[in-house]
Amino acid sequence: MTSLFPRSAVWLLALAAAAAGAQTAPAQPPEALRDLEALLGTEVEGASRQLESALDAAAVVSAITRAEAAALGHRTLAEMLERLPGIYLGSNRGYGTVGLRGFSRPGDYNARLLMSIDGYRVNDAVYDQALPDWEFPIVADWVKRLELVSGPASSVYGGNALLGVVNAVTLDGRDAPGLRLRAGLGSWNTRDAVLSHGWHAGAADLFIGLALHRSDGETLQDPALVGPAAPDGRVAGLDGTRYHSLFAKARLGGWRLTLGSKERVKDLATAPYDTPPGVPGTRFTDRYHFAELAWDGAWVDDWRAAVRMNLSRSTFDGRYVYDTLVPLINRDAVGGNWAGLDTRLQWRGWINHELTLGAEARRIYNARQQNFDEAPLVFYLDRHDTQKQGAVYAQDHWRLSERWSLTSGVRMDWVQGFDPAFSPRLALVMRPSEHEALKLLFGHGFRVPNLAERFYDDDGASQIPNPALRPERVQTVALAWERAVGTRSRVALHLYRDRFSELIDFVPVSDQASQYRNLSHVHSHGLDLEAQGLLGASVQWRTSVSLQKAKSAQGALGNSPRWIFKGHLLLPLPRPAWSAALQWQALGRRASNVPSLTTLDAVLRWQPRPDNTLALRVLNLFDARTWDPAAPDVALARFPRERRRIEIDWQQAF
Amino acid sequence: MPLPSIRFPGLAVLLLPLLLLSLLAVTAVTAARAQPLPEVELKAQILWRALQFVDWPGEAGPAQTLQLCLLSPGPLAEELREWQHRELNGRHVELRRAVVTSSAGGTAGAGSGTVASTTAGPKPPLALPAAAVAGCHVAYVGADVLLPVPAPRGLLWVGDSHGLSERGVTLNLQPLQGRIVFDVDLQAARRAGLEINARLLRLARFVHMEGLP
Repeated sequence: MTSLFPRSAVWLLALAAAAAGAQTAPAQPPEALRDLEALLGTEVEGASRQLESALDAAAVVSAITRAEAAALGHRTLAEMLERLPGIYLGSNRGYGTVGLRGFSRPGDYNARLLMSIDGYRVNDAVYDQALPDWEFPIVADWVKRLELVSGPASSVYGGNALLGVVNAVTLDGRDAPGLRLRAGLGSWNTRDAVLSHGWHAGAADLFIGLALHRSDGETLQDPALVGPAAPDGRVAGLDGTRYHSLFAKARLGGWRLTLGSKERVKDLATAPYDTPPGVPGTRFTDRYHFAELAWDGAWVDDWRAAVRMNLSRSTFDGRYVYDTLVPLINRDAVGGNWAGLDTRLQWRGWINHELTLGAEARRIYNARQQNFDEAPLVFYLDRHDTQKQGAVYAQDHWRLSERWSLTSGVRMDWVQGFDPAFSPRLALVMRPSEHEALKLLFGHGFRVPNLAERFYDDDGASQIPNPALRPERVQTVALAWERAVGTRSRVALHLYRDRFSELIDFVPVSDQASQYRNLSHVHSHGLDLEAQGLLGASVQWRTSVSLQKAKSAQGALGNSPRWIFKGHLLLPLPRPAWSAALQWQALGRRASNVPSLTTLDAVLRWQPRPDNTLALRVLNLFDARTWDPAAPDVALARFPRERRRIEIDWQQAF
Repeated sequence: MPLPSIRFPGLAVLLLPLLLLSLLAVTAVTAARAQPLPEVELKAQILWRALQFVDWPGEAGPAQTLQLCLLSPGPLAEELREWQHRELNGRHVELRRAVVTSSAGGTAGAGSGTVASTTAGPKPPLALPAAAVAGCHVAYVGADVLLPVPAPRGLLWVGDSHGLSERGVTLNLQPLQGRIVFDVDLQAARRAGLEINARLLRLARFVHMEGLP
């Protein structure tokens, strides 16, 4: 497409369309044309669209809705995401980790997945990552639909879209009108409150949410946690979490303004970075604030434009208490401010084609990485970086016939300090019938090493910098088949083969320090099989099986389960107003000391009136002892996963 | 907490766009988002507007009635019965319900007959005799009907089943990602002497035409 449209011409057209705006409508469009356009943009009422909405998409998409998440009692996006095929979550009890397609590397929490809120890119400026648990700026209560696009998608989304893209579509005021409150209590002195208010009138819509969460956390016991303050290796009261977030979204016609702000404080019981176990005060504090203004235009003749601009700020504060003769507090102060501008232009002037052209710019101001002792003040690292990024992309959706379509795209990304990255994409979609789709996909993904991987340096205490790191890339071929069975069930099969090159991995280089290095090639392949449906009036089920294998020249990759089996079931109980839900998750072995695991969660709900719900939820119902693999920065040989958690909560709509 | 230099304070970050939006709120004039509609109603409404962009061959002047023939049963056929006595571009719509049975070759007759009921399970396609559509300007067909060859002049076939535009149906409505789209067989339209406005073609998901890739 670019040959038809020299770049300068594209920009002239873009400018012309933007300037034309609402003024140059086509010469007196008949009323019927406007009505017809409005009708073509109108949604069909009913449930079947949920099952078939992704059939025509030029990607492998799975999604979970608000209704399912609410019935399962989900609090965080992580819980929603974990229901989707191929995802496996872990935690080092400081941060969560997200695995997908057999990939979850030590030292990488989630930089290979692009996370977004209504299309706003959440991944931060220094670590280039976003985590879905209590680290995330919003909670599950505010998410209308969580979508996972599996596989590399850098031709559309740019960097970080290596394993996939997660987008949280948030509630509008009209989806949750009025005041709503959910308040809960749970094990380990957990307290939760989520408040929201929705309002809409005509083209104006407002949604505001406030979430508060705190928990004292579990007591850990491990031989590696033995120390003067914990002689028996038992650490109590040091695993707490405190979280609050505020989210607001206002719409007026095609305009949208979103504001978000959150803070999470996580106490650390795992004695990271050789801090003495059992000593309080070692903790991580994360803050994230963003504002985005977006405009989505309507079609004006053959053109449609969209613009979004955003400002973001995230900080990470690590506080480490060393109980030496004189108590010593070491700190990490890391953070960055950044601004982004995205523009997109769609053109449908060529019959059977829809062309999308886009440009993005992102500037990171003052990304700082500091490591210092508090008193006496000694800096080991005090680094300030700026970074500019830009990208242009073009995509053509070509309808070859009623049954066949071909989507092709290219994107060029420039990141300051690196060679341009070229990401092509091709997707052939065939619809043998109205309810069935067959897809052949070819995609590229890339990620430039983040500023922390390149430059973090605490004088060899934990990490040695590597400014010479090169971007990592992935190339994928995938085949997907999806079919709606009847109007209420769906089955999907996804086969893929990934080829990573220059994979960035955290490699131990001495007794205590590690360094990020480019490794040789990594090959992986796998399949996801997912089925979901409705039985009778309100029995809803979903299950998926993933099989995967990832290996490098050194052998099979660590923290890569060969199989994952998960699912959930929502069903009404014989008594009126009562319902139950079950969800389960099973993972294969991930390390020699991390055996396969199976956990089952259960929810019992009583809804006497549509406005009130009382729910009892038990996570890890059988109190199974399970583990996550170790990370390089702690003495623990493996991390214990959460034991049985019991929660009760009350929801009220006013 | 001693945080180093901050280029813009958090509060300003949040307030600036808010100010911008409040400015825009004063000037913006936009329409409300449409409420979702039942699928069949949406299809009928889209079809009604789409037909306003079709010109029939000269012999069908504005004074003539527009004969709408429902040759297959189905929810959309039922919905289209509501069009009786409406006016499309100044032409009075006259509803003709044709009977199509699954007997060999199928029989069809104009008038007051009722739409034949469908039986469960796959059926062989019904070959539709040209006589069955004599005088029709718009004919609705289902997935199980074989259109007569050559197509009668001045007849626009409409349908809402997957794959129909490959079988000569001029305007086929389909659900796609929670919305309704339509495909146009422009070749079939031209063979029938119908003129379809380019504005309508631009809104189509797929236009089948000679010589186009």
